[in-house]
Amino acid sequence: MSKIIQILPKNILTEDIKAIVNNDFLNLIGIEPFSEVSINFLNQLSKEILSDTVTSQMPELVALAYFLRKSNIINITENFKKTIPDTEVSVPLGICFQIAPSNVDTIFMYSWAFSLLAGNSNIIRITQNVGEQLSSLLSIINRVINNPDIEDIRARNIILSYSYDDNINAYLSSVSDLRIIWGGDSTVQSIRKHLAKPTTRDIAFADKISYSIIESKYLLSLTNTSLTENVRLFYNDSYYFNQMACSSPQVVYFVGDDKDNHSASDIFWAKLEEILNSKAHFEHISVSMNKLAYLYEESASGMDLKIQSEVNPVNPTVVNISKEDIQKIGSICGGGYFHQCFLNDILELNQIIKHNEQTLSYIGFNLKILKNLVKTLNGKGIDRIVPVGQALTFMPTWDGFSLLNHFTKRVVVI
Amino acid sequence: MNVIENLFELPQYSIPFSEKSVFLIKELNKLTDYHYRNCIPYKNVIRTIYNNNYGNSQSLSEIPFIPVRLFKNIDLKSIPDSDVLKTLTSSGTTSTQVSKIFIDRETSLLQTKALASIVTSFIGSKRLPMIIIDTESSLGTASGMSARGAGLVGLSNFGRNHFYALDKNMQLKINELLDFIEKYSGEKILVFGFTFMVWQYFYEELRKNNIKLNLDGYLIHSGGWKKLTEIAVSNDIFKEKIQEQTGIAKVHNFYGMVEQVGSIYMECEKGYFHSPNFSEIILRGSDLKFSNKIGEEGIIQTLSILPKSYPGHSILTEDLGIIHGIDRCACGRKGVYFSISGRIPKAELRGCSDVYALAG
Repeated sequence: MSKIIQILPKNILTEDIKAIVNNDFLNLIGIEPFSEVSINFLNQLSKEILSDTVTSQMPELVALAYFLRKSNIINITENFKKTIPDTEVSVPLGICFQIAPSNVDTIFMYSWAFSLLAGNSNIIRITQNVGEQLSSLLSIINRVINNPDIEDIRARNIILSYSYDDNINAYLSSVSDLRIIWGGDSTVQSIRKHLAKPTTRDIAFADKISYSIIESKYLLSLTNTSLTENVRLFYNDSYYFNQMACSSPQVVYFVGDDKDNHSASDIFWAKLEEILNSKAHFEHISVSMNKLAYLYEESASGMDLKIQSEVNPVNPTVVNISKEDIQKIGSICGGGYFHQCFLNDILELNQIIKHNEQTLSYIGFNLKILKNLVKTLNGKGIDRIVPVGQALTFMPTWDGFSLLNHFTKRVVVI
Repeated sequence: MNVIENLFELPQYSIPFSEKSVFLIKELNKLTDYHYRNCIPYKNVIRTIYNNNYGNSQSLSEIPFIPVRLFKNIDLKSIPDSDVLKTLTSSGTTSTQVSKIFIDRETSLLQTKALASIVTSFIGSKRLPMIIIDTESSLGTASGMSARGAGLVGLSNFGRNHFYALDKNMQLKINELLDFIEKYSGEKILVFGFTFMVWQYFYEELRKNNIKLNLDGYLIHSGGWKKLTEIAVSNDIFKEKIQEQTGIAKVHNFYGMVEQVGSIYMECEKGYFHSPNFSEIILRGSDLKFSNKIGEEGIIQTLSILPKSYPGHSILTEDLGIIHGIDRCACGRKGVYFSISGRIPKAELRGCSDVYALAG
């Protein structure tokens, strides 16, 4: 059985990596973009995740499996192909070196899938700290990679777990045509310092912050059932990754007149508490301590805050913040710590949003208003505006990059 | 004579809890007021989190606290920069950031006197020949000092003719150690070191080399049990093995932190930590509310009337402890007595931004 995954010991030498990522590997030509073999491989991964007794119980992997299934992938690729004019041919870039983040197990799978579809060969660095979920995922990959008829995939993909080493990263950078760098600002900069080829493309996922916007009048008009459903979706966006995903909301804006905003806020948080209660939410003591320390730090730094609900293990912490101080929010807290801000007009976001905002998840509002907001922002912050409940859904366009577009090259033929 | 001076005069552990609480509350209220007026980040905290309600607390649990982690992220000082005599630092195990504690002459003096008052109540006021289980270089400089260095300097006041038992490679200087013991035979000797270092570099080395000492004196140690718990060494085993190998029967652990140097909690003969005259602990439950139930584990909040140069008079730690009783420890000391059960365990919070990427 051949394995494309290698968990390497600490202090592995660059020479050892060179033996794995050798000329044979580097000289292989890419696969045709959107080829049958890539789509089949992803579909086999999907099936294996869903049929395995362990991974089929892991929601994060199940979500991945749904994403990788044939119908979805074909849908994505067909939509992409429609964007390619007759005068252009889409071809692979070559070698893709990807740095996966060490604490969201599945995200590299999405970018890997797109790079595979693009026809690239892939070298993926994963953490040395392999937990249960990642380990289960890796064994699925190991199993599927030995299936017949995907030899082309097996030869062109390597997953390596090694401890960060400048020499190794420098070597892998020097051979790559595309670098995909997850892990936030510090990781991005630590990889960027290594020179790649002059033609190498970097797709870097920096530190981001996300918000929710709620149309107060709309929220107040909802039946109890729709209210519950909307807040349940907000709960999923927020609590699925302990509010630590870059697309989980950190600030909730209520938009409307003052009276509506207050009433909407009241019923919204009361409903969230009800949902937490129904799930017998009780957070780990270190999560509460984390939120407490964060609250004190924000307060000590002089931010204009008013505590609406205090830190405790069962309910969300809600802190009112003035819009002038939103940009002072530093690294995200997580664990159910929400800033709340009241706006009279959605276009006030124009004064708030600066650069590193990623997702706006919304309740209410029509697309015309939202598109108008994007035009008003004219490039400042905000990579995506999605209905509440889809904040965490991985999409072909992420952080402003149309991934398939960036992972392939266009050759003009006229 | 003011309250603090009075407390230095009174024998340690002589004041019943309820009586002590009364003047602690009074002093702590004064300190809250003082720091509110002299430390802007602290004032911000009191304004935002305590709605400017301060200085009139009726119980220890009402005294505003700050989480210990705040010292890592914010410079907290209630004195002008020119008055900073030394800056103590400690690196936590959880982050790469260090706590910074700013000490002026007055606070330094209070800390020294407090420590003296506590330690001499255990070992007497005569300075003893002292063996320090550490390297001389770990002291640091006078102006910048690690927690380890600060601990060493503080405790070294109670000894004389200090002998640093480890060389720069953390090797026990066995021959010099034996010479030192020989030279002071017949006298009581004070041994001090960090718990894990005492075990690893002193006890283990002696055991491996089959050297049994016949020391008469005291071992005072601190620094936490994490590493020893991992190798299944409990406090009881620690004491038993130390006595077996070195002859020292009087082994005292203490609980203290760089954020409150001076007001340490010494372990008595019965194995419990005791609150000295000028500090106190209370516990909070997982809801962070005050919960001083005897025998129940809680998060330790430590209150001390010593910190004047920085707002560290009421700190919520990340340590868990159990109060075993009040005023009636079998050792005879008054006040709260407690044990430490360890640090709050970490929960893994996953996210996109990979703070530990470079270490991972």
